[in-house]
Amino acid sequence: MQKNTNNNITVMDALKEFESIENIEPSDDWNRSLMEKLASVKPHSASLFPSTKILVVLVFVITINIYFLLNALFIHPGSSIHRNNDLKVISRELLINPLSIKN
Amino acid sequence: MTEEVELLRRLKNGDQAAINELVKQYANKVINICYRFLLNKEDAEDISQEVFIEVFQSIRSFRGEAKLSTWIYRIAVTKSLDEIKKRNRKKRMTTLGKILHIDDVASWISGGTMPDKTIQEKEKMKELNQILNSLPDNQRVAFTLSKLDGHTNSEIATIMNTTTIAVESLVYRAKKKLSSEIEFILKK
Repeated sequence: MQKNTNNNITVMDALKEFESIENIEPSDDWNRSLMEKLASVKPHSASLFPSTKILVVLVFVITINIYFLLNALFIHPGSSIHRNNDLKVISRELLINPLSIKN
Repeated sequence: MTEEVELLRRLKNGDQAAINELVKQYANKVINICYRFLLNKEDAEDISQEVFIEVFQSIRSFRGEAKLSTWIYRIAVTKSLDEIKKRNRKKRMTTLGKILHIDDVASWISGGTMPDKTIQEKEKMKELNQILNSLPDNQRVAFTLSKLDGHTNSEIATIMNTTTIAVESLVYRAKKKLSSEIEFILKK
């Protein structure tokens, strides 16, 4: 019980103390040790804005897609479909007169 | 303002004299912000050094939308809160250590020996920390900064990226919460 009362007073005192905490001064070697630490670190380079990064990714994706598209269209064009011949074969197999299809 | 712009330009160019000037100008303020949050001189000195390292490393990405001082104080507050969270994690580990009867490990983990303080003072600070830990981060920041000399509510609002009215409300709520916390302790 006695301990509890002491604790309560301590807490109240501490809160009052917090209101009147005095400012501290850096210790003597604080500045020297900070300068040593600063000497061993390098500043980060200014990073690109997020929107710029998104734009770069978008341009990359579009370029890749255009490449595939052009590749498919001009470099490896698909074999031509002999529609006429195929139709003749099919109509023959189905016993349909090819001339009636033409019309 | 032009002086600040000039200092910023020199800092971005990595001018050593500018770094010294910046440290000289803000060291006291930054250390005392950290001290108010951490209530321990050694920790405040360590964290304030981390603040200046962070400032130095990120200076090129600082776009000058806020004042340089506001940006530095904001880093100081964030670093202090991170340290408090780290301490609380350690405390949980210490409690676990005590439960498992590995007191030596527990005291090693808890760190923060506070050699410059008497046992009574250490006890006081510990209790004060416990009470302040009951506050949510934003209330703690507003309350702590309001107790620092020379910080107006509008300055605190800029540091916290909020409005003056919100700061007033946070400080009021923090005081209310603190007094109810004390009442709770008194009832116990």
